Amino acid sequence: MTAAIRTSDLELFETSTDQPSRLPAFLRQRIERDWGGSPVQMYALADLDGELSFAETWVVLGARHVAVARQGKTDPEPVISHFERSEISGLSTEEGLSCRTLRILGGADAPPLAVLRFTLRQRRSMEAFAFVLEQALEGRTVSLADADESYLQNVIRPIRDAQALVVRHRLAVVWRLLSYLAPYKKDVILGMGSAAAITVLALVPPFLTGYLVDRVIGPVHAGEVEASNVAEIAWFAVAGIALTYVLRQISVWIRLRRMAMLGEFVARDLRTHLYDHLHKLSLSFYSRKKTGSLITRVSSDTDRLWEFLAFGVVEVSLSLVMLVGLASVLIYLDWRLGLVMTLPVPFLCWAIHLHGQHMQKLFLRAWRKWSRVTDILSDTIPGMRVVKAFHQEEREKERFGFRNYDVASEFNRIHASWTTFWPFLIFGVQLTIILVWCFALPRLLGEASALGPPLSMGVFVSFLLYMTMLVQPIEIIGQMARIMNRATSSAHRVFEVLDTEPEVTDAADPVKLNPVRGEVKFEDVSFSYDGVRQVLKGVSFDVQAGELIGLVGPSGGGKTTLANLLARFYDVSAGSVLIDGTDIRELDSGDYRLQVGMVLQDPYLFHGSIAENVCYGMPGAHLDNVVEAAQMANAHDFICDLPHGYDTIIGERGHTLSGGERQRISIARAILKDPRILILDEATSSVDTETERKIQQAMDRLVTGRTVFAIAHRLSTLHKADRLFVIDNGKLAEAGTHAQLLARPDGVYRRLYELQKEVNHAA
Amino acid sequence: MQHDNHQHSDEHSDKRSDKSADKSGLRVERRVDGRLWAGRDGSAVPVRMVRCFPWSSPARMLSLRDADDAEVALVARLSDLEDGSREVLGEALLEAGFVLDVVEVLEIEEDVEIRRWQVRTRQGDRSFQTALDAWPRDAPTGGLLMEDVAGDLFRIPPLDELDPQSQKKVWAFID
Repeated sequence: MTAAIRTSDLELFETSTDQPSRLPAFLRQRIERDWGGSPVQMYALADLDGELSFAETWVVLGARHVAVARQGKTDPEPVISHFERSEISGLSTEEGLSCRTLRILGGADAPPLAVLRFTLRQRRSMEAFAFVLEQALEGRTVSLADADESYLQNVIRPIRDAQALVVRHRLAVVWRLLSYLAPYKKDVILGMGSAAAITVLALVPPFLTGYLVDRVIGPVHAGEVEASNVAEIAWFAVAGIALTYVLRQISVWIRLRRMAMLGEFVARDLRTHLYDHLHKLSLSFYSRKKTGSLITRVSSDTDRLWEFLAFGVVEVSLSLVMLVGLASVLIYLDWRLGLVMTLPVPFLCWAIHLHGQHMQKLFLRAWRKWSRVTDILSDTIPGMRVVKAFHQEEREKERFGFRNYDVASEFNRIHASWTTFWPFLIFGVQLTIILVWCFALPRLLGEASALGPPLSMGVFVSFLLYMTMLVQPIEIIGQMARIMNRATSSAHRVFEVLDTEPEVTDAADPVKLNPVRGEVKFEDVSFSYDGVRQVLKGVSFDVQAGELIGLVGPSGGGKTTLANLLARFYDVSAGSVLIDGTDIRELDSGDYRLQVGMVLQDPYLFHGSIAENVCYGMPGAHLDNVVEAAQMANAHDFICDLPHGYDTIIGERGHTLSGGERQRISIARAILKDPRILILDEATSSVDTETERKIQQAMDRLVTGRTVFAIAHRLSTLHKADRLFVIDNGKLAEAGTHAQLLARPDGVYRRLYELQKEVNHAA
Repeated sequence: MQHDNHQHSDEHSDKRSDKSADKSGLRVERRVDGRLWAGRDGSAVPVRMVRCFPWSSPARMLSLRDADDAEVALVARLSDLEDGSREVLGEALLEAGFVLDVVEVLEIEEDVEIRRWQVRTRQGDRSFQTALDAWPRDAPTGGLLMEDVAGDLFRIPPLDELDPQSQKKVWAFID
């Protein structure tokens, strides 16, 4: 295994898949020997055979060759076939539900050089393999990563994306979590000390009660001592009990207060740390993770960790201490009865644990059905207009009713389970008490027997009191696994974010361009979001400061990706983007983005006033400038019509405004920022003609005096562009003025233009 | 769709080239290069087959698309085709509908954010992972379909077709 592969990755691979974690060494040696020492550059596994059974077929790529090694089912010796890369004429893929077939084609009317069938687990490594071959067919060379690392990462990537996996061992996660307590040592010591005091003090009153019964009340009743002689001792014992209660409640107060606040401090630190880190992460991270999941990590997960740190850690550790303490005291008082009382405890804990597992299954089933109920709600409530328009209310009610009844019966199954279990458990504890009575009674009656010597009333009273204290720690210890699981799951999810390195980082000594002039150069830029499929392929162009460039082309062609690279949301996979002659990767990204503006197709506004949103890129801007920006964006008039003007709270994501109004506010926001480079991404789509006219007017003002890249489907909106770039299938297919591009009889732009003309004419 | 152990491996010989045409003149064949070709009136292009209803009607509405993703033909029913083309598409359907058939559930374990499954399938033993909130859906051929994080589909048969241990393990996932 190469040194580059991390142990955790290898461990994940081996625990998650049933396939070799690398090309077997003997195969590699044989293949390289057959190739005259030429090294293996890349490989992938085809895990299905022609009969669609599991198989092990390796397809291996070298500088000039491809080898296919099929491991026989009966014969341990693999069959290896080779062919030259120059023999490959093309590739063909067939996609099934869980089976893909890649055919490496040879000459025309010749059988394929290789037929590789594989499950979707191998998809990424096979796609990467096919991509390299496809690029070679187009005369391009792809720089390859380490073959072992690449294969392993491609297989585990879906698991990595699905799982917040920091370290696999729960205890290591708990230790890491506890390290957040380090700044609060004093509180930890006080909190834990108080908790320990609570436990120890809880053992005192039953002991003193037994003492009172045996040394005071019993002898007085038996006439062995005068009450007046022992009254002082009795009151001392009562005072001792009272003092214990007082001390215990003080300890409870200190513990609750300290630990609750301590947990809150740690949760606060985690939240701050997490939120700060989220801002450092690249957009690729956000495209991999669901927004809801990230919000949950900052809110619910840190809250759950607060609960664990504030109470879980203490409750669990003190319950253990309490059980050991109780067992010790009981055995100290009377070892025979002590054993009778303590021996069933592990069984009771085990019963709770088993019940917990059973409940987990029941909850799983219930939550599955609950998700069906919420599916309907999240479908129909936002889509109520459609439901009504198609008059499907009755059907939806019936669907909801069915699932609602179904989920209720599952939750009732849960209630039936726990309401049966807990009385049984308590009965188990009571049986133990009865057992203690059975063992104690002959001895209490003064009979020395095989069960032991006579038992004093005081010892037995202490026993009875201690027995009532057993239930709570048993319950907590029985649920210890669940408590730990919940906390470590949350900790994993939080630490996963904290451990993610931003993919776009600044150079050690970043360059600041003040101001950016606006010259943009793409030099043979290629880009892939997933490291496999190339979204941009060798794009090159040169744009002068102040030029207005229209980016046109079919959807999915790579226009938005180009804009993303320009804003340095991602770094190029190959080639370079130069701003005023400096590689964008050498720039101070924060400083650079201050001079870049974006107006997006779906303008994102924040909850707050209109003024705050206009000022988002220039906090503290002067009111004159805010109004001026809004006027230029054709937003001032509709803002003035609102009862609260610029102070109108526009609600979450600006939902109280129309699409055109939101767009004009986002243009005002861009105008106020006065960027040197401006990116307009489909800014006038989905609005009516009049709104489009207003937006277009605003944009005409906005683009003046800066370098602008405007993406548009409606070619008419680009009438003022100096040049148009046609981006098709990741390549710069055409570039030139509107007239120049129209003059190309078979041009992509001309085809698009005529298509739109036809559509407009028909409309 | 279940795999019926039909032989698929022998693609190196051109053995299916029935050129007789159906009513619309559509002809589908598997050529010696291993690809599907479809066309009419003597001209043919390599195509891939897309099932419009992969679950509800897997053998109906088959869209044959060329390298530019343009639809060359839409086959409403296999029976619309002449014998040779029907046989070729029938075999392609088997491969397209392939899912892993679970015969025994060995273990289901919850981990951080994922559920780990160990199963025995008709194709062999397999470990796979699903998201915690990924629930199985009904399979049109009976039983359930579970999708793992890589996108592979596993068909779990109806409960009464599983052994008692497997039944206990999947009980929470099946109505």
